[in-house]
Amino acid sequence: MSGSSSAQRENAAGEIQVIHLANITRMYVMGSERIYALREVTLGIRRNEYVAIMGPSGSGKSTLMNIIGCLDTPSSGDYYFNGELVSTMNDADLAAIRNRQIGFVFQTFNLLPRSDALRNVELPLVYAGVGSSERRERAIRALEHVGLADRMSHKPNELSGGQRQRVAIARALVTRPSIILADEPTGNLDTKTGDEIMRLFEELWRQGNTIILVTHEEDVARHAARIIRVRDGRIESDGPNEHRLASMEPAPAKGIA
Amino acid sequence: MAVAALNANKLRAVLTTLGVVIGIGTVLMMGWFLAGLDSALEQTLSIFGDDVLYVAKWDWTGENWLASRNRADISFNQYQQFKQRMRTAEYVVPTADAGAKKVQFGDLQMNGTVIMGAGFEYSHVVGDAIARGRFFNEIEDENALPVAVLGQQIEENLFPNVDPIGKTIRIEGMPFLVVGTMPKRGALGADFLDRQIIIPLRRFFGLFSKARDLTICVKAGGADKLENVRYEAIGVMREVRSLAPEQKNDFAVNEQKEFRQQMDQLRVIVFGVGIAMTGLSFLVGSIGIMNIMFVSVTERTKEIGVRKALGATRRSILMQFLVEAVFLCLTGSLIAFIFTSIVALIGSQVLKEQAGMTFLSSTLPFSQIVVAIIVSVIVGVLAGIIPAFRGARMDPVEALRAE
Ligand SMILES: Nc1ncnc2c1ncn2[C@@H]1O[C@H](COP(=O)(O)OP(=O)(O)OP(=O)(O)O)[C@@H](O)[C@H]1O
Ligand SMILES: [Mg+2]
Repeated sequence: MSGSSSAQRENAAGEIQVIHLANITRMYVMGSERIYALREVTLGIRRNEYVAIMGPSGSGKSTLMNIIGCLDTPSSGDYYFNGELVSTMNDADLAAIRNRQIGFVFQTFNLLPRSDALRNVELPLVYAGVGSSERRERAIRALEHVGLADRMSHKPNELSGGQRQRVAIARALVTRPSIILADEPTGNLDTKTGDEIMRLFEELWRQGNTIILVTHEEDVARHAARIIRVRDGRIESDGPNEHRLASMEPAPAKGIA
Repeated sequence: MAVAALNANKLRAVLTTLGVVIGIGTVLMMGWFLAGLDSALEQTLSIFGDDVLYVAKWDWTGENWLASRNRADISFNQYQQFKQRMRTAEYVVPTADAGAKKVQFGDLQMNGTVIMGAGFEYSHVVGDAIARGRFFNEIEDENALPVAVLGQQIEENLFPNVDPIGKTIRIEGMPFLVVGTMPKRGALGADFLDRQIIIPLRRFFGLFSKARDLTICVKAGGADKLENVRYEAIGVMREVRSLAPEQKNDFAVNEQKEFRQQMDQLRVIVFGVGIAMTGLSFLVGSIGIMNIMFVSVTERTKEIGVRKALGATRRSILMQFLVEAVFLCLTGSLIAFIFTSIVALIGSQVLKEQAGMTFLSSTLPFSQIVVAIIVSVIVGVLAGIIPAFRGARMDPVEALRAE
């Protein structure tokens, strides 16, 4: 198995894949039943790809996302992150990857309700061990970047859905991770607000970030350059997006936080 | 609904802290009381001297009380023989007591005083003998002159605005010239000292013909010499009392240690009650804190998931909840500290006036505050560790799914 997987970790051009899953299975035991959320999934993602994961409800999209994000542990199979086998890492290593390499964006935003926008965005920097003044500065810049400079001292319940998701994106960006994982980021937003969020992702992609997005809306998936379709825990299809939206092409090149 | 839950939590937080408040409060009160006891003990011991033996018929420990009663008095003659034969002692001084006597000065009168007859060297035996004036001298002693040294309370009662030195008081109707006064010496277990009047022993014999039993004070001249002096004193006293080798001592050689033992018993009682109370309230308090921390961890399951997704390690989640538990305990101990400080301030005053307990300080000893802080940190960590571990070990995916 290791022979084939090490071959798969590099693509034809010899680039190392930042994410490489080899025969990943995630199984839940419910009493006497075994539920397979993922079955033998093999998948590679290179730097600066823009991937949409699609599929019906219960097909295993979130499970796949959680494993990629080092939040969940597969039942079997090997996961290489930046060429390193994740199963050999300890809690602190995994936390460091989640902290510095990956930025999570959730469907339900998942902001801390008692903290204002600025404190929410500062939180990953706290775990990164950044000193308070630099933390503040960087959090302010991240919020400015998502267009929320005037909402920094607002609590989540004083913000609209779109604003909340932008705070969440600022929080995901503040440690300058190379990979953004977004599980249905527009699922709780109306179309117009959703489009704004998608423009933000587009921009991040153009600046060199790797973006992996879960969605079941074709309109949303159309922004991505590659679409992976999942069904019953298996990859049904995986290929470039033929209908990629062209309207985005001239993106403003603005430096991120 | 959310407001109700919040209020319910507040009530629980208050009740929880109460357990800690009582626990820490008890620790502080106990420390306060024991520190007072200690200072009182030191004061008493310094008056009785750490190198002085008291040869008497009576055993101060209270043991052999029945046997002591049937022993022969120590007579003046025996004292003279004893003093003559003692080689190692620095001073050998006789004393005798007579209690509950009436004393007058002018129109003022005081009952319940203690008259002590003593040799003139008595002032060398005890610590802190004279506040003003002087002790009576050898000539006054030899000639049984009517001179007196007054205890602090007697001075206070009979000479409220007058300098007593050179005045004449009446003891049981007989005139005595006041030559000196003693400082405040009454301490725990020896409060009679302030109601004492010391007069020359020969004069005392003239006044109280029935009080013939002597206590001989033997000053060793250094705590290191005490054991040698004790050895000699027992031997000499046996000779003086004409005891055959097989007979037991019919006298006791007492020292301040006996006071220490009595004090230690009191200390054990205070400590025992304190520990029981402290233990109980800490048990209640830490169960409460543990409960509130479990609630806090459960309520914030989602938050734990989010924090883990953002890069929190198990350790940092653990620390977060431990700090919260310790903070609860420290809040409790701060309340306890304020409360106990007030009790000490008022209590020391009230107990002094109502119960004559002069030994209690009006402030808490600093060491106790340090102890209270350390104890509350420990209780917080112990009570918080299990809930904090539960939070730290949560699976991030499951935690994120929580509502
Ligand atoms: N903790 C769990 N215990 C048991 N089964 C689980 C658990 N988590 C997920 N599953 C199952 O695994 C399968 C995949 O779940 P997953 O959440 O990945 O689906 P999804 O594609 O994200 O669906 P949706 O579009 O509704 O979010 C489902 O059948 C689900 O019931
Ligand atoms: Mg899902």
